[in-house]
This record gives sequence, C-alpha cells and structure tokens, in this order.
Amino acid sequence: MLSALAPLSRGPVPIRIGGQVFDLAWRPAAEWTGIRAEVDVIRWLDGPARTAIGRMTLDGTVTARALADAVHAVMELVTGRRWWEGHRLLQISVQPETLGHLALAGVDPWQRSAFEWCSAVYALHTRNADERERMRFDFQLSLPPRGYEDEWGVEGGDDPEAAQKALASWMGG
Amino acid sequence: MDDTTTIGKPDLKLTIKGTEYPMVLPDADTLSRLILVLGMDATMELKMEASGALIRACVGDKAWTQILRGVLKGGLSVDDLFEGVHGIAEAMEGNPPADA
Repeated sequence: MLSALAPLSRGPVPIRIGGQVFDLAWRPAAEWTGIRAEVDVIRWLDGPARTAIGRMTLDGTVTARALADAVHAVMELVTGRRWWEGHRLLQISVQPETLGHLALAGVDPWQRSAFEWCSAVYALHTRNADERERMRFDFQLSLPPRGYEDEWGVEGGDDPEAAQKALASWMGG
Repeated sequence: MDDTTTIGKPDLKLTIKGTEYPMVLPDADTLSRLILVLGMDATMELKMEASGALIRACVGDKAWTQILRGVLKGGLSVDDLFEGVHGIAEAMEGNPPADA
C-alpha cells in the first residue's frame, strides 16, 4: 500500500468506494492529462470493478459526491498534491509553451508518473521565479474549485497569515 | 435545443418515438448518480437499468409503465429508450437542476 504513495511508484493505486477497495492499475502521466471528469478515472477500472461500482451507484449506496471524493483521493495519491492542484498542473502541462519546454527537456509523459510529471511542471514554472512570483503561482494553484472552498488549507499547511500575504502579493500589494 | 425537452420550463416534455411525456427534473443527486452509471462503461444490464431509472425519474411511474408496455409489446426498442436518455442529457445541457 505504501509503495503506491511513493513518488516513483509504478504500482496500482487503491480506490475506496462504498466500503470496497479496488485496484487502479498504474497509468502514465500522459493519460492523466486527459482526465476531464471523475468518471474518466472510473472507466480505467476493470469490468467487475465498474460493475460493482455501477451497482452501488445505481442503488444509491454510493452518492455522486462520494464517488467524486474517491476519485479525488486517488488523484491526490498519484500526483502527491491536493487533487485540484494536481489536476491544474496536468492541465497546464499540455499547454503548448509548457509542453514545449518539457519536450525539449526530454521528459516523456508516457514514461513518467503523474507525480513526476506534475513535479516537473511545477519546477518549470517556479525555477526562475522570484519569491513573489512563486507565491503567486502557489496561491493560484492552491485555490480550491467551486464547492470545495472548505477544503482549502486542509493538510496543506496553509495558515490565514500566509494566505493573506500570498493574496496581497498576487494582487500586487 | 428542442423546445419540448427543455428542463426548467413548465411545458417540459420528453419525446420517445414520437410520443411526448411530461417531464420533471429529479433531484441533482439522482440525476448525477444515474448519469455517472451511464458514463462508466458498465455492463449493458446496468446501462439499461440506469436508463430506465433515469427515464422513470423524469416522467413518473404512470408514464414509465406506459413506456414499459410499449417495450413489452415490441413497439419500443432498447434503442428508443437510449434515445430518450439522450434527449434527457441534451435537455440538461445548460439547464442544470436548481439544487445541483
């Protein structure tokens, strides 16, 4: 189980839904960049797992939010970040300029894990940044999407003072 | 978008093989769950069950019984039901349920 948490892992990732644990086979970063909705990750599971999850969802044993939460937990495992941060880094990675830099650096998304890929994208965007630019990038990355505002700062180590400082920096103060 | 299938309007209707059924919008969780099942490449059995549940949730028990009779008598096919689901999905685009 612990190996799935390791940044360099190529092992399956557990996904816990409705009290059951299913194994999601390792996928390269390239495939994670194509995720648009939670159900895209569910489709990667094998047939029996999809059937079991479909049955629980249909019966109401599992809510849509619970299913989304389970997928988010997986995204946090594979990217090593809050799920929306990982998702944003994956989305940023396929923008032409960022992808161009990564390609020139020889980083192959079909060989790298989502964890490694996100780390590379983050490093690319912060390596020449001064403190203020880095704080701005971190702040934009850390803002939770609509509906998940309450999760801001949970396990992330953010504190109100740091957030205020980052906000002031971001706003040009 | 077809005016007969616009969710949120009082004259909302679902058309299945030429027959119009008054349609109401189920709660957001029910809609989300059923659409998730349809989207997860589950078995055909689950897909059909979810389709039926979705149509039933939208048109009510009485109309659903009428639709089922149509299927049993051979007047309606599984594809017609899937077409109905497609109509619901189209109607939902840009018209999310109020409690979503």
